[in-house]
Amino acid sequence: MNHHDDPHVDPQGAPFDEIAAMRRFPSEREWLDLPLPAELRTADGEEAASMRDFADRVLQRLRDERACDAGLAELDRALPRELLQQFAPPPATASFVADTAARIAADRRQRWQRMLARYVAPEPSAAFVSRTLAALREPADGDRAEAKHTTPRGRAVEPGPRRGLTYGLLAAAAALLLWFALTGRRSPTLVERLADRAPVSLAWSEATTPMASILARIAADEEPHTLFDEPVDGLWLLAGGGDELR
Amino acid sequence: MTAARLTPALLATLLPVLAPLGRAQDADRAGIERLLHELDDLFQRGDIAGYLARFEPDEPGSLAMRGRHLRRLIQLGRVRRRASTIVQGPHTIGERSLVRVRHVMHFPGRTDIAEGGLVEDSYLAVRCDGADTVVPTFAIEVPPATRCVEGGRLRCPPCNYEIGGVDGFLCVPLRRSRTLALEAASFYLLGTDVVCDVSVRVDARQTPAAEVAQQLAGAFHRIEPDARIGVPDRWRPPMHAASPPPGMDSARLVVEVPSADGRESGCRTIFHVVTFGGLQHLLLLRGRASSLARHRDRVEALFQSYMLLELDCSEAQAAARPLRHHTGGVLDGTTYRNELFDVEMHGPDGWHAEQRVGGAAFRVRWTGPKHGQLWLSGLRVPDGVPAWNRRLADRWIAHHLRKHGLAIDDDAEDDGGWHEQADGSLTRTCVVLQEHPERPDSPARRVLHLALRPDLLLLADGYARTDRQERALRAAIATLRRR
Repeated sequence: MNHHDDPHVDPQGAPFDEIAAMRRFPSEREWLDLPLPAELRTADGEEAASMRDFADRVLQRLRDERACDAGLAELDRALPRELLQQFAPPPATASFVADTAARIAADRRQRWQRMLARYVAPEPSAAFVSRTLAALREPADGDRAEAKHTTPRGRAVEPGPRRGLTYGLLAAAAALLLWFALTGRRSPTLVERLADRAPVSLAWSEATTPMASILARIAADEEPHTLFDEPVDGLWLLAGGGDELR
Repeated sequence: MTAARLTPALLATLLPVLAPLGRAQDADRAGIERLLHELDDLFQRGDIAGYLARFEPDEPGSLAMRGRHLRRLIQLGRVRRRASTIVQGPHTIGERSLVRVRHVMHFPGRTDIAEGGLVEDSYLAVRCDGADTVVPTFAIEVPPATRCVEGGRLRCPPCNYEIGGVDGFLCVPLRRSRTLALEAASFYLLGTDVVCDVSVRVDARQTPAAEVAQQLAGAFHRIEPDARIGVPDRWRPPMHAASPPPGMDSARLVVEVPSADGRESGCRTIFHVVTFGGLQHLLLLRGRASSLARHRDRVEALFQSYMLLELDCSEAQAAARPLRHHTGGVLDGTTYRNELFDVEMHGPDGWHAEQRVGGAAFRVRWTGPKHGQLWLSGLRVPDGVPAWNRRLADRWIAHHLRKHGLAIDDDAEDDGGWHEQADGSLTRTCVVLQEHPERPDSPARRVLHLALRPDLLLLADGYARTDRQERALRAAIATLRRR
């Protein structure tokens, strides 16, 4: 089996551990305390004066993104069949290919949204950019910088965190798929998930529409100190008013 | 051709066509009755998992909530009986046969349930796979008394709109206590997972539709953090697209919700908002993106059926009429009168009064200077309960106060417990203290007045920042009357 067949192996060659990657990323408080990367520090610890300006960095990022997109386009064409083969037991659902493609498209859209958001945000300080880039950089980044992934058509693709994220999502989806298939459990619907978060004593915890949860949240925001704005559930009351009823 | 000659000719032509249809309906009915008998048996045995397993759901969300309701019901007694009968139908909607079912449930030994038993109605849709095979695909509870719905069309002149009557859609009115809206209904496209939830709200402020859509989506996002919110666009209801009525504003916003397990494509929810002054019509279209695309024509037909009924009413009227119709309440300065429940209360002088929309039968808020607040809420008898009584009210109030970190001040002079009034109602006034503040600005001390009658629990609850304000608040509560 080559590493194209294994969703847990990053195409760059190293095993991809999404949870570990998440853990490595610092919390907000830790992030603020991160030191500047060495190349951006002067002898007294201040930012290097020669740092490129923000526009240059963004343009470079855009170029990187385009290169990555071109590489991903190649991957996208080869992706479904090869990936689906590994899901042989259990058989893939009819919508799997479409869903997988939709997830990749959604991931791409999300990243574009984040990138575009930079244009409407106030220009970040050089320290902000460098700290963020340093935080995003994985420990093995230096070792992998030279590594290139070759697509089935033989084209070299620059490695990037995005592809790792895509494969991570696919791996997580595959694991969940397998778990739900083997246990025979149905994932909760949107209405159920919302009802799970509603207090069992209130009548709207049995709502069949998501609007109840939404309107309850708005009401709580508008009148945080009101007490008796939501009716009690009759069956909860008759059953003795315990918290165990769901 | 005369009518006398036409009738036999028509009958001769149509009878061969209609007779098999009639026989099919009879077969459906017999099959559905067998199914109901089987479901009753599963309910009586408390096997809700088996009950739900009989279904091949078109829209899993509503069935899951039906299961949750059934689980609550079986908690009422280890011994239970249920008899279900078809009270309407079967009707054919799309590829489904639909019946309205009445369930009468008895829980021997329980004296707090009405003598005739607990009565609930539900819609049940089935797919007939053969002469003897009836597969249930949809079930949802429906309030026994239904207003504003006729022929699958939701039409409410006070709320100034109508929608529905579109082939394939089932209109299910929803209880206010469960939707927290003035009026609500869901339109299910039977045989699919496409649903459109319609809710009516009234807000004292006149908020632009795009802002309302963002508020709804923002609240949704806080509950479902994975939801991806779009940008509001300038949607117009098709019926009013050519010439939007003055005062009407509308917007649409798409929110994508990924599925929990990644196995299926997620849910697409599209908020459609129409405002007319403070009146808000909220239409939430939801379903898998692929389903919405596949049934686009039907969905468009549903939105085509939405229209405002009166285009030249004032914005003040547009907001006041639905409140009066659905809650019975009107405000005259700081005085609140409710003609449906015969309630009257004079708010503190100089305080600002406004009616609020939620799950209660009615609710009014008075806002005073220095952040004083007073609410009057009327709660109907909860579903399933025959009447309010002191035991149930105490249980509910105690639980609710505890949940909010509040406790009744036993040392307060004015709490002598419940008092029976000349008209047979019970009243109680007490001071409530904040023991575990939920927020830093939570009021430390509140005044709570309860008035209990079998059909309504009245709660006047408020807090003040000064002694003088609290006196004004107590004086206002003392004016509460049921005429």
